[in-house]
Amino acid sequence: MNVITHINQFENAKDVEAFKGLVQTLRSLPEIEPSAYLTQRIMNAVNDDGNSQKDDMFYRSSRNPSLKPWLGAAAAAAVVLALFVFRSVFITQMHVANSTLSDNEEWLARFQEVDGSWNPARHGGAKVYQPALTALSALALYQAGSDYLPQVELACNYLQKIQQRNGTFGGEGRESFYNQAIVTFVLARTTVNATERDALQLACSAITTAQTVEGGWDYVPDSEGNAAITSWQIQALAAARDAGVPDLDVSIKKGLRWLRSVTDDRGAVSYKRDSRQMSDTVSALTAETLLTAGADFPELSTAGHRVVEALKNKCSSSENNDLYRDCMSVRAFKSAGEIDTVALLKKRVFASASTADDDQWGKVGGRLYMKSLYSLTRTF
Amino acid sequence: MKLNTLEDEALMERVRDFDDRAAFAEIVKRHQKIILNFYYRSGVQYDCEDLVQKTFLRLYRSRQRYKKSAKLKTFLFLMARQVWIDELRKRSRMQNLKKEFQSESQDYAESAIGISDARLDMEKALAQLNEEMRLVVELGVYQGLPYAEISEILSIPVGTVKSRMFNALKKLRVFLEGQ
Repeated sequence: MNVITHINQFENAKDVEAFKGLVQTLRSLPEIEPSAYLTQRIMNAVNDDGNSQKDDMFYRSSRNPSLKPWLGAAAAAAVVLALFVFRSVFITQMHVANSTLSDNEEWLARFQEVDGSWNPARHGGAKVYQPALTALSALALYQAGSDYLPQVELACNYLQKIQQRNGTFGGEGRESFYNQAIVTFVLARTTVNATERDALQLACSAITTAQTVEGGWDYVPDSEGNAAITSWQIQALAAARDAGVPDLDVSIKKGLRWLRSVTDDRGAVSYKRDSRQMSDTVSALTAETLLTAGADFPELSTAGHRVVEALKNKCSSSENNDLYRDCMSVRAFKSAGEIDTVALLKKRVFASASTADDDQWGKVGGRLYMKSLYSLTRTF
Repeated sequence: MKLNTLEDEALMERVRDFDDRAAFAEIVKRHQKIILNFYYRSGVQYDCEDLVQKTFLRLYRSRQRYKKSAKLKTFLFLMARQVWIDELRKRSRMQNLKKEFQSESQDYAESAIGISDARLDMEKALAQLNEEMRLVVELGVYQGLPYAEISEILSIPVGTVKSRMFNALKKLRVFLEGQ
């Protein structure tokens, strides 16, 4: 209901006309214009505010009133000295890291195909994952900054074009499930218009149709679900719900309930209900899902934090290179508010500079997977 | 896909997730005028732009609370309302506010050149409304928001929105017919 439909409900016809006329008069009155520099003035205030928030820790400690003046001066001198040393080291390191990192996005932008996709087969990966890797590359550019929005739009158009009538994005079995979840998740994160919302709704229908009676998802026949693909599907549905797709709550809740059933009180996550198979990647995906899609349910958040705690204890001892695991772990740690662990893990990831040849999933995704996940690890 | 082609909600999501200041500037450009006129019609004459700045700063600081399912305009008016309440408290003149704004408006009206009689009449009429009614008129008539959204912004039931709107329109009509 709005003001006009409200007025239409008035019983007296004279009142209806008079009030409508009044509303029209009110709306026709001229408005004042903002001054020419108002946007700039506001953005200056926002930039000052954003930068001062980053410096807040330093200011708080340097203004500690309990310090005696001489102690304060000594502390200030020490801080200045430390900052000077830190800055020299930090700037050198950041210069190296940033040049590599922005190279990832430049590389992705450069190797986008004319139709908007990214073709993993050209870069040492498997063609069947073209939809999922196109979506991940688009997400990497979307998160990297406004400069890459044209490439993101092109990619989203491609993903909509390849969508089939039943809402799927191609592939069979395992590949089709990952393509479906990752493309839907990315479309939901980047959705901007009604056409994309239609595609998104159709994609969600395909996901909910594939959900098992128990609430999970799996590409293996006669399985009630596996934690990895179930996590992705829930994340996709939750992102779509946040983007305005209706009627997904039941499916999301069922999925969350199933996912909760494969986590124990020590934070361990089983790949399946009847299995003892575990992996850090599955734990990270599960934790992220419980902490974000399950954020409204305290019990699920608590379970998510337990999984993160367990993961934290293992993350420094990982021996093999697995960028997918590390990227998903960064997300989960960030959602759990473990900022120090995020910083440490990112540092380790970027220091290792592993390549597709020595990565666990390098042969599946090739260089395209490495570039997009390096970029996402930075921005998640 | 350029920033100016993105919907409000997509822009705000970029601000929330990536601290994208260019996206925020686009939001400011789009909505500064409606917020400016929101304060102007509330009776503020001289420091409207300060309040607009405070509103957008508050929106920026609250970016992590934004959910994509919520309309940005609704979220923005929630901020504007909070800034307005803070302003009223800060000035410590809740009781005298109506009177003060009336006289401020009067001074302005007397010194203004080229402002139509109709606009001055309407400003006087709006000044007759109490704060609660004026907010409902602002959001329902000027911003054209559905009652469900007004109810969310003002934290009142839809039935209360309806009764306040009815009373406000009635009061405005009586005042204008008496002019």
